Amino acid sequence: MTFLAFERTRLGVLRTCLEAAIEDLHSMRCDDMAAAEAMRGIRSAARTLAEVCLPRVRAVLAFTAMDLCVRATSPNGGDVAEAPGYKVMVRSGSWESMTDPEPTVGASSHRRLTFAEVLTAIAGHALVPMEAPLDAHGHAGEHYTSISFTAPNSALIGEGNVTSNVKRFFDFIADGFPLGLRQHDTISIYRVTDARATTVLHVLTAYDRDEGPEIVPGRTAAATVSGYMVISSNQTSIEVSHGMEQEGGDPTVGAVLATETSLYSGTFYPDEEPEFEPVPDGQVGEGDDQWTFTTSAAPMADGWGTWDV
Amino acid sequence: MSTIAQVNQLRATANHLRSLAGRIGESRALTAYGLADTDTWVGTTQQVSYSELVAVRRSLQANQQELTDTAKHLERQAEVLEQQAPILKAVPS
Repeated sequence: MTFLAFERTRLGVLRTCLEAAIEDLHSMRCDDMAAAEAMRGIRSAARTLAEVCLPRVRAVLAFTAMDLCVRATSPNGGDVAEAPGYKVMVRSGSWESMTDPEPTVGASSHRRLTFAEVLTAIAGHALVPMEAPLDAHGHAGEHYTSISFTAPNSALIGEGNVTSNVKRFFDFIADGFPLGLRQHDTISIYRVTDARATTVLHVLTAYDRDEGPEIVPGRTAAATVSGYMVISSNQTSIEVSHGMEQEGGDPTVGAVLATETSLYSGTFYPDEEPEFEPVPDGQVGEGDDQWTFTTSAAPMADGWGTWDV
Repeated sequence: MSTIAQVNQLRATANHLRSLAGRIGESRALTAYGLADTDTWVGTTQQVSYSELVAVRRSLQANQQELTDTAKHLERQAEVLEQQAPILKAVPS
């Protein structure tokens, strides 16, 4: 059990400030397309303040009511002061104290976060990323690690289109030309429960890109992890249209040759720091990994991604 | 759309974006975190709340910066268009 101490007057000022901040954010309007991304950010911030921060402050301030009826009994005959999260512990000076409704810091102590809440928690460092794989920094013969996740119990929490305005602009331009370039960036967040994370040691040498780098024997470790997987994927398609127009025919008729590439990067935010334990090499490479990451700027093998978002 | 209209539209959009960026800058959402420090409350709830308010601040500041950058970019585009058609300079906007 942890305790929360608070100074009522200052907390009241915080509540007023939050109410004003929400009003400020709600009053902001801009219909311009160029401001669409910012408006989404403003709405998200307003939601976080209104649905998460303000209710929390109000709940603590509402503690007065519980304090006043501390010896009263609830309908079932129990002492109201025994209600979880509101037990009176100390009152000294202008500071009051109660059982902290948030028992510990970290995702494991919370309900499953929403897409926006995960992003907010990452930005605020409330979610801490797992240690990045070892990087060979492009030096031949150096060691590096890959980390793979097998997550049969993963659930997609949400997806967001994060294609930059510049990319959208070029996409628009390409519509009028025989050569088209379309790029689409997406952030997806998965809630991963009891996944198997496997780290494998490699040496940076030439290798078969389809098969992937060779494994250094006896240096593989695995852990069971739960947390949030944030994946940033980039889909690029290049279209080349060559007109087959004939005199008097439809000029828009033509053949389109298209090629598409898809890359991903990601980071895992565990509920708790994983404890990796050695595993036999034979248990690696069974092909059921959902995501495999290295810190390399380019994927080391087909289907692998880069550790970063 | 004529070049004059394009230039005017780019500048109008840039003004809208700057105005919005200014309003974000004045928002009390940017300063709320300062009231959520350990002078106000202490405990896990304080830590979580403080982190969230700092995150909101960072996110809004990033939006503000993006708007300012886009506005500058649009202004530059408007200038380029004006330079390409020098006769426009003689036309009052």
